[in-house]
Amino acid sequence: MKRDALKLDGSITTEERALDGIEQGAISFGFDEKDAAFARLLAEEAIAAFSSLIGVKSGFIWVEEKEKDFEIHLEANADLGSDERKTLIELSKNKKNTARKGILGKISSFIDYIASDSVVGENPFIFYEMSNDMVIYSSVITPSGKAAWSMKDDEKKPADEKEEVLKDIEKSIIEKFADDIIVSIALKKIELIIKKSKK
Amino acid sequence: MEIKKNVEGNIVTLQLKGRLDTITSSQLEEELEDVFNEEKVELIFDFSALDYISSSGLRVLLSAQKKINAMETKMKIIGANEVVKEIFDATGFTKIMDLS
Repeated sequence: MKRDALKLDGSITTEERALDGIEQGAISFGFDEKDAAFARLLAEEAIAAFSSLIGVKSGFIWVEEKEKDFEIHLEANADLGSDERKTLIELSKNKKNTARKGILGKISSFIDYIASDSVVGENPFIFYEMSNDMVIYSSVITPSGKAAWSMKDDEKKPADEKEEVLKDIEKSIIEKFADDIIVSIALKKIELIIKKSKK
Repeated sequence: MEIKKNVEGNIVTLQLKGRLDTITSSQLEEELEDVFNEEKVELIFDFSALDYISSSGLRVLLSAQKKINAMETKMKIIGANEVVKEIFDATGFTKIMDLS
């Protein structure tokens, strides 16, 4: 079941209203108080990640309930550069852009392929993946389950890079508490889906 | 979020109630500015009434920890609930902060 979408405009007021709605939705879905708090946290970190990773502060957020899955959808329109596309795709669990339906998805796949670091030589793995209409960003895969942020990393970084490192706090939280993270980019339409499942 | 401040000598205790998130983290930042205007202080965060913390709140705590490290004093967090402890674990903050 799809719940009503709430508009985000970058203001604290609308974000608070959206987060309150997500938390109430999580309780109605059947999550206990603790898991409802984590659902709220995931929504907050998703909004923060959109802002810090790709500079997008406005869009729509809604919830879809599917049997055991509570899905938080965050959608926006933005013209992303290749680095921003990669950064966002890196957040997904499968490290892929899942927008593969329709002509926009096909064009988007091609853009991802051209932008990827893997377009070198005749890599049979990449060509196999392309033949199945998928692209792998081999150079950006990070080990799953590992906190992407560390104080050690932070201390080593010069001041101008520290903000970059701090972005990873959001990623660490999303990666830890979400059961699945899906990124879909079809030209300017960007969607981040974060799933939390009933245990 | 409500913040109650208690000062005993050079030990400042901040008791937080509610949520420390995008919406409220600036409140704590302002309170800490006042705290750090004082002489060398030891800082205790009492989280026994804190329901939740997000990355915005963690950033404020990280900034406080760095100031405390520079002053060569101490900072500790007491009374955190399971949700808050799990968030600290997920981000590696348990390794850099005194959480009891």
